[in-house]
Amino acid sequence: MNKPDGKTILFFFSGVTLFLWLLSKSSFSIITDDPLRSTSQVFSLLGLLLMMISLILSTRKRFIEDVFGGLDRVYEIHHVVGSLSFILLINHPLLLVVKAIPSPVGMAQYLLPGDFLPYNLGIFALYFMILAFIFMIFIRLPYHIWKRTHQFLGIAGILGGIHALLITSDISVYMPLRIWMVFWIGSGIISFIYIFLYYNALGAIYAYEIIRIERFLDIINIYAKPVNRKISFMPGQFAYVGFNNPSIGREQHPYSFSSGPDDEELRFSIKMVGDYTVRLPLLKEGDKMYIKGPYGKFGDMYIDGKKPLVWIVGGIGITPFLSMLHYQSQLVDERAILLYYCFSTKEEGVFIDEIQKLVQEKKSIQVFPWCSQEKGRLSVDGIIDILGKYDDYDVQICGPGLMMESLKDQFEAIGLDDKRIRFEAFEMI
Amino acid sequence: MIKTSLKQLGALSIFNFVFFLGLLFFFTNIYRQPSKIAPPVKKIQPTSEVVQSSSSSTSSFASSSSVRNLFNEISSHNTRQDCWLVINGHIYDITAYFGAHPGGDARMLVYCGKDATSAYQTKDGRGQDHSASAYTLLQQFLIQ
Repeated sequence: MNKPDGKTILFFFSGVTLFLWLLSKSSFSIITDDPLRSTSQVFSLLGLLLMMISLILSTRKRFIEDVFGGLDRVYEIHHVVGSLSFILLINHPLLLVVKAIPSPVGMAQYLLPGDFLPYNLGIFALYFMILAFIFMIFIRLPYHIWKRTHQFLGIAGILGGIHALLITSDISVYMPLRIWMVFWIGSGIISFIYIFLYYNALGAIYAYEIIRIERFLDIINIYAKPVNRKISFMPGQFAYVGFNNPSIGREQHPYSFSSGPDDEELRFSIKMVGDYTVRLPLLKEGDKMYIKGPYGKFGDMYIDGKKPLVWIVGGIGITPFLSMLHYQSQLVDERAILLYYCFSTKEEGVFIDEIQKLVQEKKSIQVFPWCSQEKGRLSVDGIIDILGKYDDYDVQICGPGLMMESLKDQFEAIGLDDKRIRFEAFEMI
Repeated sequence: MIKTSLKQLGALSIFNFVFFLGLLFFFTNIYRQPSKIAPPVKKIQPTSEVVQSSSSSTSSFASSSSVRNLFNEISSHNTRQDCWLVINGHIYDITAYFGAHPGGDARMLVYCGKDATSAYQTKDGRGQDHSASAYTLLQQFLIQ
């Protein structure tokens, strides 16, 4: 029997919550007599459940990665679940406000802080969420400030959870629902405390020393050697990386390994695109690098699978494939791989020489550099043609966020079998 | 695609929130105008009147011959689905307030069909009266 995937599990938890809520009612007419209040209750329970799940997902625990098939997918679900919980929770009091119209006191009870602490906690949670949402979505902030703002949502979740447990509601009167929600709220709070206070303190952090830095246009290659222990990773994985250079700051960012797991030197290849990465050239030899990980399951299709592969790469999305090519170049095994490496201008194909060198003795690997300035953009139709031509191949795709989103939507629209295709999203928290 | 839709729904929710804050401001101003103020409910001393004997001891509301005397009917409205109670000589239908009472539904349910004046003025024996805003909120449930 197939293991249930993460989405099925989420639907199951939501279903259990709804079922318990229904059981908490003494008669069905209580629900239908007051549809606004009933809907508001459902919104609050589901919103709270999803908020807590969203917090749990952000702990980056291995078992969560296993359930969802990689940390990049975990964060995708985290975004969707978090946004959905926000929408449900903000509309929960608004439905009650509609019910209270035109009484200003009744309306204010759900919108403004008053005398009653449990209500106030819910209202503060609401304001925290709205502020965080506005800052995150509508205002472009530097990453470290954005991340702090994001953590506000965790505080909002905790306040909302305490509010739900303190007020008189279905949670307080129906014990099975109470136990269920206490479990989720407790897990959410523990997850938040773990991320906020203990994530860096617990678990292995690998110290490396930078031995060389190379720069090609807006790409920077950072080479390092372990100070003590070497990190063990699979090709295609990534890690959270921080530096001890004061000009850079201590925050951690996720980067794919671009060296092979058995290479003597560890390498990260990073494109300078954000306020943080443009400071990376300030790094110098001898600086320390701290690595937490590894994470990700992008390489599983390559490592565990037997089928030939089509790799479609956009720009800096080449890094996990470089790691796989380094690994493959050391194997005797011949595996058919077609690599479509897309870049805008000829100069931006900075890894072409390295790739040619890695595959020169591998007859089964074919590389197709695709310079869009010369050949035009590799269209979805072009990719579908490739997939049609090699219908026994599995497909791995990694590229800029917009390219991936567009490909996913269009593949979905034409009903392409998504079991054959593995995307790697590298825009994460 | 789903991310864009969620972002739009989130923005719409914030818009709704701001809209209702505006609406609250609007209604607050309307109710501030003296001519539109809802009938005041005076805080008076707890009464020992028992609802069951209300036909002889209720307020002037009930004694008016042109008004149907609801005080005789109170004791039959004693469930969560149909809850009337008396506070300070006035009848309130608080059925719609179930689920919203900060102190819980159970505390209200006990007084359905009865005189809850003393309980209301002492928060069910805790010795603390309800706030002014709670008295104002009560007005929307006044039926006699």
